[in-house]
Amino acid sequence: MMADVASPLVTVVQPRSPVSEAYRSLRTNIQFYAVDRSIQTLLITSASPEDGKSTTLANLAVTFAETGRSVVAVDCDLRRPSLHKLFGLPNEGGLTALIREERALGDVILSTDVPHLGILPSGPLPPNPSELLGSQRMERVVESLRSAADVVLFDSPPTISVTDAAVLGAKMDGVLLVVSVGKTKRDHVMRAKQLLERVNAKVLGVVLNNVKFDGSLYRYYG
Amino acid sequence: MIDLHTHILPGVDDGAETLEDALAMARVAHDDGISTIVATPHRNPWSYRADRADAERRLEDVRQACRANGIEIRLLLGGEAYIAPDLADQVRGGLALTINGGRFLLVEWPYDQYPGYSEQVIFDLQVRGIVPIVAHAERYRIVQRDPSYLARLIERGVLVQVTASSLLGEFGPEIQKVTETLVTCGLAHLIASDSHAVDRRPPVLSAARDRAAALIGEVRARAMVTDVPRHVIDDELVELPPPTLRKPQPFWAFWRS
Repeated sequence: MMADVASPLVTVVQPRSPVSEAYRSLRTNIQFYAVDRSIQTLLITSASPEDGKSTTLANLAVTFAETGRSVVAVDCDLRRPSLHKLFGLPNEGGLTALIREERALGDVILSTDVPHLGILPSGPLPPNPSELLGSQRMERVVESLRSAADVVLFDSPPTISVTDAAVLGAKMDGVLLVVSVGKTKRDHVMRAKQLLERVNAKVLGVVLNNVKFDGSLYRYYG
Repeated sequence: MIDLHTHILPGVDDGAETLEDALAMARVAHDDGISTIVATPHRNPWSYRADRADAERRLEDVRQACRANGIEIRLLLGGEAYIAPDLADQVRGGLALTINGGRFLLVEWPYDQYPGYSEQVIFDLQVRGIVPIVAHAERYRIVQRDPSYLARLIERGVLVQVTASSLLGEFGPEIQKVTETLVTCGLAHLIASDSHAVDRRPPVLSAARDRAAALIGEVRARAMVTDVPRHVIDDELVELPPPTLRKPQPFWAFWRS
């Protein structure tokens, strides 16, 4: 899987490319965002579907793991999970089994080909995702992930269509909003930001996805 | 071939009444080319609820009778569970029996209603590692009205079984048509007999397999009575293609709509 050039995991397939470099500077920005406290849990969401949040999350997770810190990427999209597919892993056990206390944390985090990077897939899809994500057991899961890894990245459904992202955002150290340039509508982004701020989620910033650039600035170093 | 859904276990439900009945069913199945039968008695709190050991004993009687009569066939134990809010606990408590003790559980619904708790129950089973198989999917009104409803369940990892005799039209042309749609659109993974006696949904699969082959080709039809059920009895995860939902339509189809 890792040799697949068409893979969205550009940081694995082409680690020296300008795009991978962009993910690294995103990582650096997050690391130095807060001087007084570090960002350990981060929700990555978007306003609308298919803006590229799962791909952003996966690549960001790889670049965090490159620094030698232990990273877990958690799929909280309990409607259309995709993280396990990006890493070619089965969606077994998973977050929902953990929330329901049917499985232990050590059993459900799947290792990847990337050192220090573990994936927690969504698990079976529940009929009531928002309730499950807002439950006290979910809070305990977040706490146990905090003590298990240095960095925990959470994937979620889009912010506007369902309430899941806002429910999660309130529990996190920070939220990143992925915007697809030329696709995501301006008022949708504003609405998403409002919804997150209403629950006191800390929106760290916006990631611009699908930016067209010619790469000339990077050529000297590449 | 492997028959994953039968009521061959004698004296426990509306299937075989006596050991002789069960033996007759085994003989018919064997003659049809079936190598393995899973006995899936109805199991729920208001019918057959004796412990697993009782079911094992009855099955061992059938095995011995087969051996004594020179019928070479493998008999395994399972059950046909009935959808209920506490079904996941029924599995844990040993009332609902999974197929051959593995992760797959045959589940039936009432024909004319779809309880609101169904999806919660499917989830409860799945977080415990159980994979539900929808029994005789073609016979539910919700499926007859909208076959694509099954696609939602399949996307969540549920398997679907249709009945051999439904595919052959023994429940009438409408149920036959629904069954054909499920098979054609990839909304069914398994064909089983759901046999209750040699003359009530007989324990044969070859005719239904051939009918399916006319719809989806020899290879896929054979898989529905061999490879897929083999994975189930061996407790192996099944990789299945996503449903295609729509039948391939001729280009003039819009004239009719």
